[in-house]
Amino acid sequence: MTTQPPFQASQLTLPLYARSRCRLENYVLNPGSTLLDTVKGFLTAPSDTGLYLHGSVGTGKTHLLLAMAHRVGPASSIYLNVSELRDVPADSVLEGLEGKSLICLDDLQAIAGQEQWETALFHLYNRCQLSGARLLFGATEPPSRLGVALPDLLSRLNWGVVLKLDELGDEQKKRVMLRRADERGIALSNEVLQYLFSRSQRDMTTLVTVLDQLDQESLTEKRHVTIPFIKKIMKW
Amino acid sequence: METWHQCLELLQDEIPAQQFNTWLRPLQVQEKEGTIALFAPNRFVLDWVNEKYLSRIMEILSQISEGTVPKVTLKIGSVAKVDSSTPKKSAVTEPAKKRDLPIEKSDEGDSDFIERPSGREVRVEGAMKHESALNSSFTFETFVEGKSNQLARAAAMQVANNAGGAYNPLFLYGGVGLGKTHLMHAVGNAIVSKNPAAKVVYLHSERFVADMVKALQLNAINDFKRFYRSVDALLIDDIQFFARKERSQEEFFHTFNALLEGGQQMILTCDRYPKEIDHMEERLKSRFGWGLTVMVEPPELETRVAILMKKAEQAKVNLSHESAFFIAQKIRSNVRELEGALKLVIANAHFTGQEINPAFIRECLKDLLALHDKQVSIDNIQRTVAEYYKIRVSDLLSKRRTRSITRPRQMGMALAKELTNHSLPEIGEAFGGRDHTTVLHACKVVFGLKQSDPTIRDDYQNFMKILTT
Repeated sequence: MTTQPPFQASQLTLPLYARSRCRLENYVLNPGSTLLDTVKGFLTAPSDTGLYLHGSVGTGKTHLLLAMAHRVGPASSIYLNVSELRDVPADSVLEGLEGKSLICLDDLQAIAGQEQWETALFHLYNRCQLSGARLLFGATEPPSRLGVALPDLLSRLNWGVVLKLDELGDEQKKRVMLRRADERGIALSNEVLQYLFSRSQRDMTTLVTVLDQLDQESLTEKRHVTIPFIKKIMKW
Repeated sequence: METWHQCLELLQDEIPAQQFNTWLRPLQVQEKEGTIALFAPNRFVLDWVNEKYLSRIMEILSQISEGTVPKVTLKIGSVAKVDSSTPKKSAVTEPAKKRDLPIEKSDEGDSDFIERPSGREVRVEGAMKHESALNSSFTFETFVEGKSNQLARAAAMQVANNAGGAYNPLFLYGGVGLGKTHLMHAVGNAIVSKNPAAKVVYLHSERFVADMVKALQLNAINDFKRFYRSVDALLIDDIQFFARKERSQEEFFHTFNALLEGGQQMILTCDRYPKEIDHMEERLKSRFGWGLTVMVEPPELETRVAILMKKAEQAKVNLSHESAFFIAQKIRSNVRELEGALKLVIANAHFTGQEINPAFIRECLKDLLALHDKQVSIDNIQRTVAEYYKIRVSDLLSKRRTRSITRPRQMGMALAKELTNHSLPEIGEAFGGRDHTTVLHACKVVFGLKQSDPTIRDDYQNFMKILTT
């Protein structure tokens, strides 16, 4: 058994997605990316059981997993963020899920190294192979760096396509920010967006945290999100 | 349906999307005559919804219902209606069909409109239908033979030709992703092709345990016994997962004896040699060794190339020998990882329309290769070997020729040849300025010892595991 990895910052994704509507249609890709083709192709590939997506926080894993679950339909798919479930008996969480067509398991790093979870997941994988169900995994690390102690599970995670989600370029990040602002009912002008990108750290986690803060403060102060307002709130 | 949809819409506004998507949206619903039946995929989801959301659901329903508030029941299972957007797997690999099994009555009420069993299905009693669960694509024809697995393949062929004969049980062991399961299915398929009426049952050890537990709960253990003893061949995968499960071991012990006595074939796979399975009864371990015990080793370079060529052919993709060689050189741990890499390359080629060649492969696999390259420097090998044998790296590089030093040194050289792309002169140089013929000799010695000396074989496997995962 390897030691359990420290809890990742992935809990952040929960509030971030609170009001988003994650769909394939509004998923933002870097130019030339074949990511969506590959992920969609996974649903129809004849012999694949698993597809594994990894990338740092804010690269769009959760969005993609939720969107895929939506595409397949709520009756035939399930999305579980395992970081919320790491303390409950894995067997009971995963029992019978092979009856679904698509099972999306997010934040896999949260349970890596936990014997019970690893064994239960290994068994689920085997059952899915027999039933024809598909598993879509999301994690911050690739399988070999996940800290999986059970080699049987590790080799299965590596069996399907393993895809790294790259950081988005600035233009794509801006599109994501516009969409998220829109979902919050905030109108971001180009100047304001430009200002945000010139002052804030430009990783998605920070950007969305800033947006959340601005959203909160603008509601409290009943003010529009303008450059002077941002300056005041963020103390830039 | 209407009432529930209204309820869901209201819930969606007040519950965070992720939680809503996880717990509420997947619930299937059946509304009829003043009742709303909600179906959860398993007991866990059911309990969760019951505990966290049911009271709120009831509140909302009472607000939106005109007149009588519908009665809500929570059940495990699914509604007859199947989502039309469900993607269907094509039949290329023919995953085993869902078993046609009796459905366990749910505790939460009648289950008259549960059509598809999900989760809590039970496979016991006399009505237990025979389903082989054999994967028809795993045959001897699709198995790629190489030095590493030829013995295991030959043994499996023998068993296929003479099931229930002298080699009972056939015990296949070795690391993950090396083809044990494939061989096991190949024997099963061969038996069935000779005698289509043969009852060949393949299952993972977990399934055996789960079936037994259900049988005990339902007082149907005799049916369980009858079923497992009635098969012509029983194939159980990953037998090591019986560890610590005393009751399952007990049941399996009796099943084992009955099958052996009846001349029915058993094939077992395991990640290790029988004697080395921890928390397993001695009497079982000794029985595992009664038939034929064969090891499957990691495939060497030539076999890895051949496996890739075969997989590409199956996927109807043009893969040049040079390209296959490139992937096989880079990915060494096991066949699953090799397949995963090939799938990624094929997907990229398909969606970009580019030709598959080593440069394209390098680009596709850049993330994966970065991981591998890092793990297999000669330095790393030397440090690992020295630490393992409790000697110093400087000993490995020295001129000393005592056996306690030469063996580890030879091991290090053999590993460097297998795991890195360095030339033999480079490896010799890195091991204290030795000649390339010394490296070649070391590789031969280690190869020979791997066949004849179990300790060296174990050491070698341990190194492969440490250095490549």
